[in-house]
Amino acid sequence: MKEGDWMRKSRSVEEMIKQLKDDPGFSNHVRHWHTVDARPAQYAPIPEQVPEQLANVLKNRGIEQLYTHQAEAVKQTAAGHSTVIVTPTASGKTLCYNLPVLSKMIEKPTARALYLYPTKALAQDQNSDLMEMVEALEGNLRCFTYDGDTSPAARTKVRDAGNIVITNPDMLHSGILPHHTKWIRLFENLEYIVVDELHTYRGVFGSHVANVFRRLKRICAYYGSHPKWIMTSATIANPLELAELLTEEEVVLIDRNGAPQGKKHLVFYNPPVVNEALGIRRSATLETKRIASRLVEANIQTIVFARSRVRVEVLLTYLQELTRRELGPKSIVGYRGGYLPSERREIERRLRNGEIKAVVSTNALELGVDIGQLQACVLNGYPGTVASLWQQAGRAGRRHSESLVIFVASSSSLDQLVVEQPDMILDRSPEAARLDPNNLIILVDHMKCAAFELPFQKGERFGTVDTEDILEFLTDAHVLHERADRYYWMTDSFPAHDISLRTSDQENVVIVDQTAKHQVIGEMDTFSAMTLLHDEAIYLHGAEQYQVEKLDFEEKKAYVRRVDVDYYTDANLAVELKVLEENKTDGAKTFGEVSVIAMATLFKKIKFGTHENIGSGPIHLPERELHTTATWFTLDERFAYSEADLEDQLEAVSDLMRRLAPLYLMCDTLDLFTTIQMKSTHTSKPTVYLYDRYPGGIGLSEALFKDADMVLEAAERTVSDCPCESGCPRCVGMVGYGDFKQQVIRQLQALKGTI
Amino acid sequence: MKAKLSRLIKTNEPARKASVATPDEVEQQKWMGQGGEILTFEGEWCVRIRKTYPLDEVYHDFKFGEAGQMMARTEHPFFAVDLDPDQVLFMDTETTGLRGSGTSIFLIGFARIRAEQLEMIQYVLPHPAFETAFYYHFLQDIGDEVRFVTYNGKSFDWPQIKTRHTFVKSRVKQLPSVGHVDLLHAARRLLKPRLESVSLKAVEAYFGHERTDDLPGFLAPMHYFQYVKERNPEILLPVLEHHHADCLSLVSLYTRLSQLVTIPVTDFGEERAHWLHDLGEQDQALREFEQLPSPSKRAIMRQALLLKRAGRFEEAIPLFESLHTIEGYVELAKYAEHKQKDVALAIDYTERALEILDQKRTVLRQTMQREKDALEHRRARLERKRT
Repeated sequence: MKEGDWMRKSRSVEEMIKQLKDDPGFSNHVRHWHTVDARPAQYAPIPEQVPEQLANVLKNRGIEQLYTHQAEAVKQTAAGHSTVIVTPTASGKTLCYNLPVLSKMIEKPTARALYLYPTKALAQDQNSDLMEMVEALEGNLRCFTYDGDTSPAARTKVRDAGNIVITNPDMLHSGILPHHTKWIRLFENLEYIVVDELHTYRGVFGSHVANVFRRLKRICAYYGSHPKWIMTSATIANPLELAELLTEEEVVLIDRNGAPQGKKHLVFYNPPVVNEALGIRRSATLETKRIASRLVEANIQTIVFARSRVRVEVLLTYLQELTRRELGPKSIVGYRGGYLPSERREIERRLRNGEIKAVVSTNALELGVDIGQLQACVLNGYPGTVASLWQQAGRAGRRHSESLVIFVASSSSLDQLVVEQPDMILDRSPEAARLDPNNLIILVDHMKCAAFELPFQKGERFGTVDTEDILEFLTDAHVLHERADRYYWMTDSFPAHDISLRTSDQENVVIVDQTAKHQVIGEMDTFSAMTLLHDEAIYLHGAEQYQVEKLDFEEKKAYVRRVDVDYYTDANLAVELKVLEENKTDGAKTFGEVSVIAMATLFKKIKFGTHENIGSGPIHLPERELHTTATWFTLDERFAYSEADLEDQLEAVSDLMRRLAPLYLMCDTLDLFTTIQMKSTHTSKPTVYLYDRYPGGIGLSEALFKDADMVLEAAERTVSDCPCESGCPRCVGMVGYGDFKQQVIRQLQALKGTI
Repeated sequence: MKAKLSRLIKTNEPARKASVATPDEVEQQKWMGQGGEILTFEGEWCVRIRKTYPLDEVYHDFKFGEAGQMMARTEHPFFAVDLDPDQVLFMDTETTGLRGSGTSIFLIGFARIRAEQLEMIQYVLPHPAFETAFYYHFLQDIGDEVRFVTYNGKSFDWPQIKTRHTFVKSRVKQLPSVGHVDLLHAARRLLKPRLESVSLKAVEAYFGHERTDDLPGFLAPMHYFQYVKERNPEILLPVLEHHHADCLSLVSLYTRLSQLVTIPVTDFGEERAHWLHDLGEQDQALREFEQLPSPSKRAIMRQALLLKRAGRFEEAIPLFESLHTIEGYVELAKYAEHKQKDVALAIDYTERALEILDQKRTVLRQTMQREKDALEHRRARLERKRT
């Protein structure tokens, strides 16, 4: 058989796996081949709490039994508990909440439910699914979406007649809660609150939403209802903790997934080194291209995840060219954000009937959108968090056949760490979601909204928080006025209007896209804007690249334009950090509050892949002050021969910490900033500070303090496992000399306390 | 120190009686000094200020009593009220904000025509904590069946009252059943596009009664907040005056506008004709259109259509012909085809319509395409019929 023939023959996944294993061109670069055994379905009968009409609707759809976790969800909810169900991809999560809710409504037709999705798009997506079931029930149930797109005429209808109201936290915050008297029927009869994609409520957004939930509960209590929560989450380390933190209720965890899973292969592939001295490897994108083409030519339905829009386009073009003649161009589909539910259904359909051979997507796809299951998945680069890795990998995998996931590492240090030490990913649970509902700035903002909704009584608590100090503060600020032990709203403003749930700075910079017509695409707090939105910065939004044409700092507006470039920008921040208070310490590391005065000075243009510096420029912006929390590490002077050495070590340690901390904190690389002080005013020793970039802190540096050893360990391994001789940009962030690597390792060990 | 002194040094002064007036009492005195009545309810209180005017007093060109006469007489669908004048309230509110559950109404008032006089009543909310007393007395006074004459009351004031009522409904009466004559809608219908803004102020000025030294509406909340903090009714006086003027203005405006739509000869003939048409009063509208001295093309078109609907084709056709518009020619084409049975004529009219469409520059490409498709479809159909 000629080579050409071999290339174009259909293969099963099992056959492909054998082929890859037998091909040294592939197998030589596999660092680890992990298998997850097939898991059969675990069924449970449809619980008796599900009324007959509803059970019949299920049977008509071919569902005679439920998975164990679905049945459990129904039973626990019926028993009066709030629940959080951990639902990896394709585990039938919608039945976990639709069944309890619809069952209750059949039993009690006046019952109401509120469904929350993180975005409008997801809400509209799920609506059609629910509608089908409701129609099949042939009753009087009505479900509606209520968001920015709902027409004024429809709004009254939704309020009066909507048994199920589907919305998102932003709409709840500014459109529903502050107008609660119009929603009296909903609040008086609210039985369930369904929250999907719980893991997205973390960081700043999660902290805001936790407070929106406090307001929601407060209003329900006012109208006499005590709804239960039904939440679903992707796999994270702390689903129960997150659920209880967000709702301040007792929650039951359901995490034994009963959905079946075929045998899964997770392959860790590291492109070969082509330049030893500099540690440069073959391009991950090229390798991804080659691997994906093999799968496509073998007729294996594949999804490819790439980290940037540029790379998606590159891979898409190549694969489309490849299959153009035999299969037609539409057999390879690029998934970009913003598709309508109808367009997604179309992709789903064409996948199911085999028309689509491959999908190339950015990370935008992982957010809960369902397009069906594929057979293979190729990840071009580490998606940023372990949870994301598993979510992306979860796209491949049919119920009863084997699936193949290939992670192709890029040259970034995080990727290299993951591919060389995959047990860091496989042995530990994914990251924990972190948030801080009591961040003072966020808390006060929402207490204002809550006070606007219903006057506070003296001694009343907001969630679990004492309100006295904040109420007095607001009174002094002439926002509230106290009379007869109650605090009344005393301004003509509408507080929810000025509060965005996605940032914690009260003065945000609005990002305006000038590519087609002026359109606001997002907001950012002013502190971060200095380094991310300066003139000429390359700004990443979703997975789209934009260049900042002008940052009008006075007006708090950044004007951007879409671009497709192969570099990113990195801005330098001149920082003066002052410790305000120490909260916890163990000698080597300390956690506390700091004040940071920062000024952006200049920026560099860095090429993807090679990390060359291809240009730079100055930044002209005023300085900003930030009060936040930080964790700092002090180096041991004994491990350096000279002051110059110590300086280099400090830079290396700081660089490593900055790059690796996000691995453990489920945050963006950019949520945690770093700064170093050779002779720290606070400790008089060389110190590296890592601080939350949000005013008041958002729980990240605190988590770092707790998990510091894990990060230090990862840093140690990154340096010791690097194939370079004395240090290179990949491991220590600079070109090293002599025993520099050893020095750095010793500092890290000292910080861990092992020497 | 003070205690030590009183222990050591005996004085001959009698012990001072602890009769210090409470802040509430002090404030209430001040209100009474302004002519206000203190009304209490379950430990709370509010203020009611009442003033009367003779029915033949003239305000903004009209006697107060004339409003009562218009109410009794008018048959115009918009201005007619189905209750006695003393259940018709010319009402206005002042609020602390524009929307949301944190906004309160702090001043609510109305003018009402009684047998011998015009009564003007204002209720003041001394503090948001006293809404129960405020709504209790307001609802007691207005009865169970009410018609409101307002300026934007249908969309703003009444929904606000409903919202605030939700917070106190367990302790006060149910809301009355209501109807609305919202003069803002009348002003829009009659005075636009003549006037760019139909705010109450702009309308008053148009009819020659511009207010001087009046408090701008957006400053009212600030006065209220300051009044609440200092408990000094004087601070609220400009707001009370402004509000008082608003209510009285409604009475005269009602008379003025309802006359406008009923007097035989008027400057607003076309506006009222269109309005009657949109209110569903086709016969009356037609009569109005017929009497217009210089009707617009839009008026002529509507008149012609109404005539057509009434079967008066001989009168309608010349009007369609005079228009030289696409719609006009389409009507002529229809008439030619179905009534005159003259297909060639119908085609002729259709083509004239197409000519006009070709010359039109101000329409969206999409709309134009649709219109063109419709006309060409008509022509094609007629052509087929001809052969």
